[in-house]
Amino acid sequence: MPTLTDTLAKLSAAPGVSGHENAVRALLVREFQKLADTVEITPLGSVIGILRAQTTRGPRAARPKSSAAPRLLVEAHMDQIGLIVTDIQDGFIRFEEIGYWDSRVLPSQNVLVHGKKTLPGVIGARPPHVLAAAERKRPLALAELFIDLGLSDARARELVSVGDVITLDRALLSLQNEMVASQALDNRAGLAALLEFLRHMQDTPRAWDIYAVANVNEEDSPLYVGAQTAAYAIQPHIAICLDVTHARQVGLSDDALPEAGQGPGIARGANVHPFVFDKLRQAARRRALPHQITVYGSDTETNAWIMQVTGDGIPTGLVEIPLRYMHSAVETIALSDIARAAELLQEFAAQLNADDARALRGETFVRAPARRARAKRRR
Amino acid sequence: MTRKENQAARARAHFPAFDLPAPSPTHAADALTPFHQLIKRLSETYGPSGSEEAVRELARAEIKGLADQIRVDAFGNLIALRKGAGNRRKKIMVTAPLDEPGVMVTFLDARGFARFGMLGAVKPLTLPGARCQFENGVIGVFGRETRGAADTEKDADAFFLDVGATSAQDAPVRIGDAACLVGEFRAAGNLLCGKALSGRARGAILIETLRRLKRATHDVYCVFTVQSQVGARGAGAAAFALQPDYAFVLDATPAQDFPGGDTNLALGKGPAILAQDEKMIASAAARQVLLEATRQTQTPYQIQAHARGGGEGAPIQAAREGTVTGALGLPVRYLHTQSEMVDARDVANIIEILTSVFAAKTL
Repeated sequence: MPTLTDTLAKLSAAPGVSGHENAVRALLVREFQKLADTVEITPLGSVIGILRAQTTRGPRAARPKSSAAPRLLVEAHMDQIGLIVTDIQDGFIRFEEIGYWDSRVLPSQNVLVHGKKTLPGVIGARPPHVLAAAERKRPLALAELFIDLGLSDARARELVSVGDVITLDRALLSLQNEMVASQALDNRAGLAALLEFLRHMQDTPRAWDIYAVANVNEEDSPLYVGAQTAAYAIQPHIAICLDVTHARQVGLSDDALPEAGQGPGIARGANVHPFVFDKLRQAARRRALPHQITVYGSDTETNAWIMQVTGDGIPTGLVEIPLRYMHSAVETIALSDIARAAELLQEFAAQLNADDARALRGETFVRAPARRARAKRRR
Repeated sequence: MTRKENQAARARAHFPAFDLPAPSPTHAADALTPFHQLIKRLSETYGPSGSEEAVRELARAEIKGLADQIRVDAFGNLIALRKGAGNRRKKIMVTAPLDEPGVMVTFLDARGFARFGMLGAVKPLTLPGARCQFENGVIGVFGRETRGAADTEKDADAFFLDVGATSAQDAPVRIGDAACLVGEFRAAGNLLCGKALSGRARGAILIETLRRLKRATHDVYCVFTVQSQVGARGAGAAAFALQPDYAFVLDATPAQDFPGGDTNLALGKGPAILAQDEKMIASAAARQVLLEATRQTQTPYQIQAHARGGGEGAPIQAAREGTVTGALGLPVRYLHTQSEMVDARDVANIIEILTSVFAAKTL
């Protein structure tokens, strides 16, 4: 059994900039193949691992190939924010951002340019000595930054093309108190929780089919195209999104924010179906898991937002790992929050039964008996 | 080389087309190839977003006999299917827009001046003194309020349309009427210039590709889309209906190979294979298909990595369980003005690339 730190280190080291997720996807396919009955990939590259319903503890072979069981989708996005080459000037790389960056964190970073080979580079800028007084007071604009690979112009053009992507070169760092920091923990933390959840489900009886999904293209656009298309393909009865959220930190002490290390956030608000929220909170209480309630008036800015309105509409929930310093090179989380999120989902998935699916499809509402009454009259 | 010669050579290198003796307009029209005449006819046809009938009928007449099935969907997209003969044929969808940027009348004041809203990304700065044309042929002249003039250059609310009326009653246009910009088609060497040209050149590419395509391996759906300028409304509906294996969007790429331009994309250096635009990161598999086609046809290409402009790719990519979607950008200078400029060599190269994709043994 790999430790959570191992899993997270491996996940955060595999590059997967939005739309260019090949490396992290390959890793996930291998992991899913160990943990799911079937692994599928959508046309856009999201990975789906299906674990069929199973009412008793038993060998995996006993499970049916297809089933009429209700479907629970649990997803985490696999992509990360990154940079993209827009031009090569005298051997130096100019770039733009993919996803929502704070460009103030970019100067002086070590990077990896994923060209014909993976090339280490540094983001340089003009030294402070030569800056005018006014320039020193403002952050550097993206157009003023460049990447130095140490290559001549000709060699750089040979190895790097416009459109190649770039990631920060920042390995996972273990801090005190079971906290870790790295780039891309948004959302490798969510992915680690998803894998951990799948591991827990191996021998957990369940009435629903589990669809674990690692989605592409969350960070790059407001369209959430990966989650939308995968949810459309699965048409689940419930969809749960696993993502990170802002944790309380220095300079961000809002009481409404969750604290890292105090358990996963269970989101509540217009984006979350009340039934799903209640079941998640019940699950946390039953297992006596520390958890925090996070509140969103409307848009949660996660894949949950699009999944909710996909197809016929999907009852959606959101479980969050609190994270400090979002979209920086040192995103920081508590490992215990990942472990608890996985346990929470295990308990949630185990308690779902056929009645729940019927309730969610509206069959207990007034309309259904009325229809039956009409049919009787006709007879 | 003397300094003068050097200067002359540099000027030539920069604006090769303008070295040619200026032909008279009639002479230039005579000199156009039939294909360029088609581009001219398409460019000169009225068709702002939502009012694409005339362009659609022109396109439909041109593709008659070139496709196995031609239909118009409920949204107004014109869809032509050319069936493929390959054993391992895939379903390919290719899009080009029918519509063009324009304006729509939102208010008529007591003196007969019209206020308007934009259909698409028309920039107010390009309008004062320019003209637009309504479906009924009425010409409007764009004007701008002079009070507080310095602040209103970019403020669409400060602009109005003069349609030659004296009151709201005698105005020859009504609220809700749409107009396209007016810009005469001109050709100078390889450079083509005109209103709506960015979109119509792409439409012409689809028509000409169908005409030249002898034998398709794959089932090819050429979709002439409506309402592309107002947020790629038509393309998503077509993709949802067609469920293609691959979608290739013919897009416009802003070329800024002019003084003070800030991208490295240029006219005449081949179409741009999009790494991304504002709303979509192109699917890697579709990019590969396009790259392979440029290798096969030995055509030049550029790569657009800037996240600029939202083409028709995003809604197609998001349709149903997802569509593998790529985009090929026709480089255009002065996009969304009455003088959009493209290079005929880029147009020709896109035809080569598409033909190669449609006839590729495997995808």
